[in-house]
Amino acid sequence: MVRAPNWVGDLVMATPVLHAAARHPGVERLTILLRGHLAPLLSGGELEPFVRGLGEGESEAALYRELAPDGVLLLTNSFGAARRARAGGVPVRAGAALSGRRWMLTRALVPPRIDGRRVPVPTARLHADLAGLVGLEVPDLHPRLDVPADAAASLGRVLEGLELAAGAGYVACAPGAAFGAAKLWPPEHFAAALDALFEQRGLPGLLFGAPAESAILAAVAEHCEHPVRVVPETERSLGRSSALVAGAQLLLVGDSGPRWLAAAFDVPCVSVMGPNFPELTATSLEHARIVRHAGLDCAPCLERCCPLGHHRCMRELPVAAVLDAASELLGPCGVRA
Amino acid sequence: MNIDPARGLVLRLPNPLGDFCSSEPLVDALYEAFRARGAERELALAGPLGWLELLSGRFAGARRIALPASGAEGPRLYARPAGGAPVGVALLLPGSLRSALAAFRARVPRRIGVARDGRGWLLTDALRPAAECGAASRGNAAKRSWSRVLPQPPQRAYADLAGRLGLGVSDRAPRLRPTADVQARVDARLLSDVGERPFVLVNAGGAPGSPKSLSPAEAEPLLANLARELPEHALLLATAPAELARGAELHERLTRRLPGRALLGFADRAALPAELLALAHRAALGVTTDTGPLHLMRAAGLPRLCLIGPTDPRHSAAYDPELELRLRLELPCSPCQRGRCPLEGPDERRCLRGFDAQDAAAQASALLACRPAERASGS
Repeated sequence: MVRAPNWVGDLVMATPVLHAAARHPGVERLTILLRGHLAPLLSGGELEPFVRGLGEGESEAALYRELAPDGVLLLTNSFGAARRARAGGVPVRAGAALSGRRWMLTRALVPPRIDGRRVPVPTARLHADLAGLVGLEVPDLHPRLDVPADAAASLGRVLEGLELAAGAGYVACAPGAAFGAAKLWPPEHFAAALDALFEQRGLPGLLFGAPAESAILAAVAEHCEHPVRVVPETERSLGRSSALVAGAQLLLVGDSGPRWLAAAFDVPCVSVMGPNFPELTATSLEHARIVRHAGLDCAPCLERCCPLGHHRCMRELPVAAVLDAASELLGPCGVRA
Repeated sequence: MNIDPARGLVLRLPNPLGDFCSSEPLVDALYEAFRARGAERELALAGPLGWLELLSGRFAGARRIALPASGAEGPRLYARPAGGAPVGVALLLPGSLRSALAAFRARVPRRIGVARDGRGWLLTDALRPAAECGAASRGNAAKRSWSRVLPQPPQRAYADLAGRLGLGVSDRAPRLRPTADVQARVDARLLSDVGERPFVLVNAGGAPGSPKSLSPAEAEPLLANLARELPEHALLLATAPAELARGAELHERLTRRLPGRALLGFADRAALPAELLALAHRAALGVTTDTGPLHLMRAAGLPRLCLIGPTDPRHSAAYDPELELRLRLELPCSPCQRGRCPLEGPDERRCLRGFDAQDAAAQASALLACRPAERASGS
């Protein structure tokens, strides 16, 4: 059994491990356990038959007892994940020795340290190293997803409703961040970038995000001078977001999960990063540009809200840098073929 | 990069050829950082003489410090160069006690390296590498409760060490090119021997009895099948001079088995790693075990078949997996990481001898479709 991560980005980064487990001849019975709302991300492909979503309020430990796996590979780093696996009586519990849970694991990976502090390791790399604990070799860290046919079809209907012609290009934009306010680039900056991209390339903006991010989407749309489309709240399922990114010419995003959807579909992506360690996500950068405010003593702080109150890492991140990065990916003129 | 600009940095490069090749992305990033500050003369690259030639033509502004083949080194390695700044940082890629001791005795103010083999106290910045604990599933099937260093490509540890200097190293495959004169010399020989014909570069070397390499008798079926799969290609058997007898035996065996096929022994022409690199830049396909030449083939971007025997595959994970066919048998005894196979009889070195030659050859020939565009164009 693999206990998949709880964050969208981490789950997408874990797909190389999940594929390796699904294909390994030594794995007789595979279950990919994840939070129910994330299950649509793995629909429509090789991994779907193995997915078991956890329902709201469902006991993870009870599920372990019911399924009685030989072992569980924990791709979540929380204390609770290890505790539940132990309480569920799973004999082999493999995971990262983080959050004080080493004693609950039977196989543990201790991340590198220097001067007693953890060295930031890309999450995709950490997942691959963890897979080695249970004998899985992960040859490629690049994530892969499939777009479920029904999600693609329903997206077509949504785009039609937004008066975006089939096959017309667009810039997908996910300005929200479930992590917290510290990762948010100001709405007016997103709006300025979308306006500039429309003027330069004729690509309209298409705003999407989690249902709870409607206010942020509305704020961006309000600041836009050119018309942008906002995917209605009821249409913003994960599967559809996945299809939406797969069809975009460019994804403009914060340091959040949708960035990894772009990586999984090889879609050019500009990601604005504030309080995070760039090393933690420094994989699959072939079609991605990470734009950061260099030279701030306080960054990266990894805080959910700016502890200094100025939020300079994001507020001072210039729109021009984002547009330069977009030009690098899309070329000086024209759009992606 | 957070180092004192008034101080120099000595980058002690690794001794094994494969590790040396793997350090190229770090050297590149480090050199660029110094060059951006106009201080490339303050960077010194110290490593085995033969390997340093692989960097010829690049990093021109950096000092080179060639170490003898014995690997002996002392505090003099860190002596202040004439007209240069005193050495402020020793970035130590080898994990040996000796390399750390040399920097310590030279009183280099900052000594950055991996803390293992009891040398952590000699370093100012000691990276404790990732470790795996508990019943690790790899390693001669031994279920151990104590921790051991996580097998991983050396490049990762190098990038972690560079992080101490505030330097980001891109997570990419190493790239090396021979100098124009070495390439021209090799090209001239190739032209006279195989003309314009494509060829498969075979690493035919290896220490006798080593579990990491195939004996001539063991390599013969694989190469014979490969020759049948790729009738248009010549086979070029490259060995180091010390492995000449082995290469000659393989050559003789294949000549008997494949009469009329173009077979070349390149032992006298691949004496230097740079020459082997030049061959790799011209080959259509490489065949090797998990040894130094594998890394030269990688650095040349050559599609290759790699047979993995007793080594943990995580040590040699490829950064361009689409170009590398890695064959490995899942055996209870593998990976054992031993220098000599402890088993006898039919199980002796089975991890490397047990491959289906026909299947391996068929899979390897399919790799030719992965030939990158720049190679196909011959540039």
